Amino acid sequence: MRHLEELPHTADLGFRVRARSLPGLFYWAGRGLLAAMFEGPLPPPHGHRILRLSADDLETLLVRFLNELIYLALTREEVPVGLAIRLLPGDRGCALEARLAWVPFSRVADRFLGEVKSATFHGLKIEKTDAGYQAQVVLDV
Amino acid sequence: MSVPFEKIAPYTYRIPRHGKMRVDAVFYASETILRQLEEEDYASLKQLVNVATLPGIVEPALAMPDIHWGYGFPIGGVAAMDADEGVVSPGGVGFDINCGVRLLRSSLSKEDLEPLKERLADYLYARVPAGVGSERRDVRFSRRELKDVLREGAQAVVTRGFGEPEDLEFIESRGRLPGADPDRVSPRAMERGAPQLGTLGSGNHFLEVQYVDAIYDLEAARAFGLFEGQVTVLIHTGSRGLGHQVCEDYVERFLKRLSLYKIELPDRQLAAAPIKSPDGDDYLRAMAAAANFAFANRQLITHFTREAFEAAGFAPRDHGLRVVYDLAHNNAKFEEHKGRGLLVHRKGATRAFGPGHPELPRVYRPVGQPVLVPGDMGRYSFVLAGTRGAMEKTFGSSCHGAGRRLSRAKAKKLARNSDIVGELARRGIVVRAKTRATVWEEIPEAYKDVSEVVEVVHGAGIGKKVARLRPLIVVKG
Repeated sequence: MRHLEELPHTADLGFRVRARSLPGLFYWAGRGLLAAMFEGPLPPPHGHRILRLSADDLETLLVRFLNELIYLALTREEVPVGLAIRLLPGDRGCALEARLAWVPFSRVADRFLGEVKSATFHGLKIEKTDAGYQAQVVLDV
Repeated sequence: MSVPFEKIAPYTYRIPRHGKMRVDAVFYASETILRQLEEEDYASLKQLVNVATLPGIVEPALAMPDIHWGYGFPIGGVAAMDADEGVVSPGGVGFDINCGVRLLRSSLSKEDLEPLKERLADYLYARVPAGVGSERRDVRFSRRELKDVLREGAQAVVTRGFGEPEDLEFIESRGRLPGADPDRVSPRAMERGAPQLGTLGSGNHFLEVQYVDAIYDLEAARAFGLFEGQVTVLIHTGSRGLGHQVCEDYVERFLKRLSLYKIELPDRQLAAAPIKSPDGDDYLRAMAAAANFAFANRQLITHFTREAFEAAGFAPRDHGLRVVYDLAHNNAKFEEHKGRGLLVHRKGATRAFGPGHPELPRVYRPVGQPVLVPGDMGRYSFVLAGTRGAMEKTFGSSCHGAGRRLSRAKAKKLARNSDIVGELARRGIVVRAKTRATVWEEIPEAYKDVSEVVEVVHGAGIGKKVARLRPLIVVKG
């Protein structure tokens, strides 16, 4: 299965993400975001962090997850290099627990491709397919 | 799905109201731009059609000739909402609230600068923080001072010695949107913004030292203080992480309230709330705070630019750097048009008030507002003037730039096989950038020729060509 496919978006950056499971879809969306921000293989992790998020629906959860990764990388300067994701039933809607392995931004600054401002809701719909799940992600860069 | 449209005037096309559109839409294009729209399967025109479905929109929904595919709103979109019955959409302003440009003019000529060009490039690169994590450790703001900036905009940093009081007169809205309330801005937005005040950022943001290589309208150029051969500086940046977070926070909040306000959307990124609602009011006050951050950001960078010129060997009386104008191209503002109170969203579009408008500095009133249109780092940028035509047809709006021709991935692929910095150096353009990738993404070939956009604006009467500027030094994150 081809997990990430770039969309021909000229101004911003978009990709279609596919995975066999929902946690897989979140994982690959995270990988797609990080590939937009950093090039090449990233070094082994320096630290770990547990991330817990919830939302009313899966699309909002995905946007929130991606925006959390942007925040961690660019504000906290903790660049995620490893992601392990579990989806959980939330009080309302859905929730996610992710274990993030990260490196300091300074260690990957030479591989930085440019800022991503935010993940957007533009055209975002998580769909069930015969092979699993797919979604379109558009990032404002 | 194609989009039906018809030509109604030179460079002017109308999309008649259909489907769930509440009003007609109008866009401006040349034959070349029409072909480019077709090549992207009219994705940006479909976004314009979506904008025309928003409650309270006043006819027409508009797109400037630099229209291109964005998220939610098209880039180059203008949507005027009835101030009482309409909605405000954070996506119609964008994540980079009050992303904008500021033009400085100098007393120097290109010949004065040439011997010290490399030296000046080094000082600009050292003094103007660019790229992630870059900041001036000698220029810091406490939480209380940051709140002052959000309330007072550029004035707050001028008061602290970063710039001249005269600078404020030449900033749109004098560098301060009214009604800003820092308490409507989330703690995370404050955290993201605090270290980024006075920083350029990366991506398509830049600082360029340029020279005036052509004058098209002598009267307007004189009013703006521009002359041929003159050194100018163009600064392009916005509200950084603070603005991005404000937009994120309110898009999510508004999406939850859609059923409460009975708003149906063709695209969730168009999330909106009534202007006259507590949610709408909160956003507008937070947005104004982020806009004020951006005005202050460009003011600080102006100060750092003056420092760099002085460090490079130009005394203040010699460089004479003065603000020509500072304007937003991602904003929503309350304005009066044809006697009606409106909230005008401009997403990748510039306010372009015509001659006589009372909001303009007195010296510009005879000729209209300066409209600053950056091109790409290898060719040129333009200075236009607002027109009565813009007041009549586009709620006093005009274009904001060239628009991309290549995706970032395609631009990088093209750039990897060439020595961009070397090529620009051979053309007399010095580049200083934090990362190669930013330069690759922004190669001149990645952009449409901005003169195509400017000719449409001029031909359609929604802006008037005044001067063309060519780059000498480019600083990027």
